[in-house]
Amino acid sequence: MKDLPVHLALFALVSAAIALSGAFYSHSEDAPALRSLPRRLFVFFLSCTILGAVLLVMEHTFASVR
Amino acid sequence: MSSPPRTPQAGAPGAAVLLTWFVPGAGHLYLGRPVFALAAFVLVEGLYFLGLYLSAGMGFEFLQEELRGPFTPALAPEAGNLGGFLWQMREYGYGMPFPRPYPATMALGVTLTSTSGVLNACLMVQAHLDARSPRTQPPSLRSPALAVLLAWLVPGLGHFVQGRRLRGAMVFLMLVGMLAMGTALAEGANLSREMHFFYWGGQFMSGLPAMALEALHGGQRVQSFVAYAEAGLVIASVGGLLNIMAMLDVFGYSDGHLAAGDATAAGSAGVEVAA
Repeated sequence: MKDLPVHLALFALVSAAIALSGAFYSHSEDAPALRSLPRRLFVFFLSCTILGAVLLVMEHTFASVR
Repeated sequence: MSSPPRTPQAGAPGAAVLLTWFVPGAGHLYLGRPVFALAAFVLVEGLYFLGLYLSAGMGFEFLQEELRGPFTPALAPEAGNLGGFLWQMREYGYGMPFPRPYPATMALGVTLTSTSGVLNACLMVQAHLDARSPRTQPPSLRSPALAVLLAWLVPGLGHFVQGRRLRGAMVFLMLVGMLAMGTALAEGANLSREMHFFYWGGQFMSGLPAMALEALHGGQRVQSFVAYAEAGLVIASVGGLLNIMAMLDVFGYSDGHLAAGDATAAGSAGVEVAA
């Protein structure tokens, strides 16, 4: 995983686009949409972290070949 | 408390949408607009059948054997034109049981069949709108269906014509940027529908930029290992899928403004009648 920073940077970029799209979809005015962006990004990152952790636990529990 | 005055409906919106989905223009025929219906039918089905002709009906043969099922291609943009899609499945399906070369105009053909599907989706939006609120004015750039079509053609353009220029510019930079970055990371390998049937469908929702990139860089042979091929493929595809959200945003904004205008007009008509 020597290119982990690259993957994390790409993930951050795509996350920003997803969060911004969600904000635009939820608010017809730009100002409230942009104000809600940090909270949306935080929730998105937190949710993805939890999902990633659950997947890792399941992988090491059910799919381990050791 | 009295409810707001309602404008008369030309027909059931759901029926108009379903009819249009099955046969382009049928919804407008049901709404009593035969000329518009005929023009829509000729345009949308004409594109589909021209695409079928150019691709020799082999569009769904891009799907790998293990992915072929009775409903699998329904995830392709062609499903927006259900009549054409069902015709293609019945007449051509997955083709012969042996491999054969694709025609030289294959890429153009599948682009036309896919475009027909997206156009018909916009036509369904128009049918729903016309059923709810019959209008006599000619369609303007601010009408929901046209704004949605523009939002598909160029991400951000729908917002731009609505006067939301900052949002339009941000959507354009964000979504076209994702498509360009994904293509750069995958070195153009993401642009092949043959290699990535479903991801291509996602990318296709980026409209003209995706078509232009495919025309310029598609069909190249992969000569060496592409380190970020999968990351690029996902990023470009997600960009296209996010444009669907942008199109819904454009539709909601136009539709809301139109409904507010209708309510105001109906309200003033009520006041005039009462006076």
